Amino acid sequence: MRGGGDGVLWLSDQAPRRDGGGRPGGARGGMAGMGGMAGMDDSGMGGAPGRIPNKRLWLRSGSNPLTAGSVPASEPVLLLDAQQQASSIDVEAHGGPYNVTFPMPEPGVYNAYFVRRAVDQETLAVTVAKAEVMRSAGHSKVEGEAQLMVPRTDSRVPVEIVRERKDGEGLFTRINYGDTIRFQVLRDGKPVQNARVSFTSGQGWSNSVQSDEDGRAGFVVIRDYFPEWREFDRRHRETFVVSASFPVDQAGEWQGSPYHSVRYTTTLAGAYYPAIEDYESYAWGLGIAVVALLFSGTAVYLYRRRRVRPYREVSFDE
Amino acid sequence: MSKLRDAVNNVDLKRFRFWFQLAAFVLFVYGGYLAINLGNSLPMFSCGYIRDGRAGVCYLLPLQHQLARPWPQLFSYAGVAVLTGFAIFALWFIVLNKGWCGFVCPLGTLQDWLTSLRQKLGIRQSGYTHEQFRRLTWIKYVLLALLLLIPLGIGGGLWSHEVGAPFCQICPGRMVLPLFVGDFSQWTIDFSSPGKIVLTALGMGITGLFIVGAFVKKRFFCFFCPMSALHYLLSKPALLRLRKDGSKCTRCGDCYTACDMEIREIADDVTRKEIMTDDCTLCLKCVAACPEKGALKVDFANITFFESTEEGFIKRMNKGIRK
Ligand code: SF4
Ligand code: SF4
Ligand code: SF4
Repeated sequence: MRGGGDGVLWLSDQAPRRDGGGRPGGARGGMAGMGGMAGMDDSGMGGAPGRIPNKRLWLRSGSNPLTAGSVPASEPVLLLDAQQQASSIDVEAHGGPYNVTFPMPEPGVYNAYFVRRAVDQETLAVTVAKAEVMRSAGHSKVEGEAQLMVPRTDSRVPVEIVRERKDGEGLFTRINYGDTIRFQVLRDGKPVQNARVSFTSGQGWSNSVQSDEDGRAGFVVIRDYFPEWREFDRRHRETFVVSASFPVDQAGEWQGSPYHSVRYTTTLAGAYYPAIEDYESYAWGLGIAVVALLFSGTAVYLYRRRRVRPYREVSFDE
Repeated sequence: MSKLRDAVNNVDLKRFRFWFQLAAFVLFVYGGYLAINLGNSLPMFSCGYIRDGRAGVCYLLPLQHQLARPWPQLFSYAGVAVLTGFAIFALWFIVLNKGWCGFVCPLGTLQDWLTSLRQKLGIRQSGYTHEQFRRLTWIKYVLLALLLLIPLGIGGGLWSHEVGAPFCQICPGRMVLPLFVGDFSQWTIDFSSPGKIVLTALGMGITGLFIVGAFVKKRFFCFFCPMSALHYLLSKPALLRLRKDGSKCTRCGDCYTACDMEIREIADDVTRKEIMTDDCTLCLKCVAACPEKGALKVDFANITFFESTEEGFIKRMNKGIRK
């Protein structure tokens, strides 16, 4: 199924563009599961000295990352920084698509939440778009990294999706094709059963499941990047969008408008990349090493034998 | 005082070196598990690809990454990082000089272990002819030049980032050293781009060659090592020095026979006082093998702390024969 223009709101670290692609600019942080450049690919020497990296997030509408456009809004974003300090970030006031910018002074995980409440036809729609931004310290480990990686929730956030970590995940661990990623849907910090959870890949393929009794849902990250070999980029980045929605029977009043039920919708976007198996081969590596080993070993052996022989011949002549 | 000096001069260098090298190997391959971190500018192959175990990083890795920064950055603020990295590297180096190779470098130690294995198996060693030596000794300078120029070319937009850290791609240390922490992940061919294929395939081929080479020839790789070339360019102000007094030398050739690097000058040159050449690893085996008092000596900041003596020579000889 192709995800459509369904008006689902999510936060992206890429400006809305028709192609939806493009590399993340500026700051070293990336969306959840992206971190900085992984491992040895990068020098980790940071940017200009003394410059605090900034992250800019855009609000986008439509669960298909390929086609999701921009959308106007005025709500501030709630930011929980690496040290779990909360602050409110106002929308950038220079017109254009909705976006917010915040500094990431220290390595760690930064959670940003866009929260909207509106009553429509006696239903209160509660929407939370969440972004999880990692800032790594190049390829060096950050002190207490395991602690920084623990997913967090906040009581100010009515509903959210929490991504469970991969085994041994660090700030620069990436999500790769073939990985199974798991999410938990929480309302007021408690798991939500039977929420409809949808995963939409960068190319717009989507899959939906119901969350289990712990509010959990898992998806296999499919490979949907099949370029010509010459164009293959092992750092190719795709964005996924996960959304969860569910109704709750609850009556009340929001800003003077009465409602009889509540509809919760929450999203979380992230990035994923080719897996090592998509472009590296152990068989070839080991094969070439063994061939070189046998070849040079035989060469040394033959060379030594050749040097021994004339001596034998002389002794036979006697 | 003179007793202490005698004790040092009579040292069983072979045993001392074995334990020193083992300790250094453990430190630089496993020290990271104890949260030891000596920084990114180490003057020997504490390989950056030993992910968690390393206690610091071989300078060549960050150097290549730094030089690949875009030129406008490299020639402004990023240049500061390059210079500080280099200054720290030089400081480390100046203390021990090429002793980093003879006593600390894990890849050098590994080659010595392969040599011991060969000796135990009773297989004889290979050597170069004088002519081969003369022709091959330049390779390390070529590698050093490429290691600096390719990243600079990347920063200047001349070629793609895919060939970043080119020397690390072909360095056998990247394949061999992580094995000691159970990491086999470097033994692959990277098919993501033509440049990567060529470099990783070269790397795997060189790894095969390294194993055979280091087995039949002492310190096979060190002869081609660009780190060694970089060392030599900086060795003038170093504190640890190998010195020779030609007037005491009888040109018996014992030192040359002992030298893993097959350096002829150590025996033949009776005029030069500063006898350390670019291939030397400051392993000090020549000093231990020399029977003439004071012909070869090691100074630290101009204070001699180890020199060749007849007594030491005889002691070590007897040990060698009994074994
Ligand atoms: S010359 Fe040998 S011992 Fe020295 S850094 Fe290179 S590999 Fe290590
Ligand atoms: S071992 Fe000593 S005496 Fe013999 S050639 Fe070498 S420096 Fe000269
Ligand atoms: S010259 Fe001496 S110190 Fe240098 S490598 Fe040869 S034996 Fe070792």
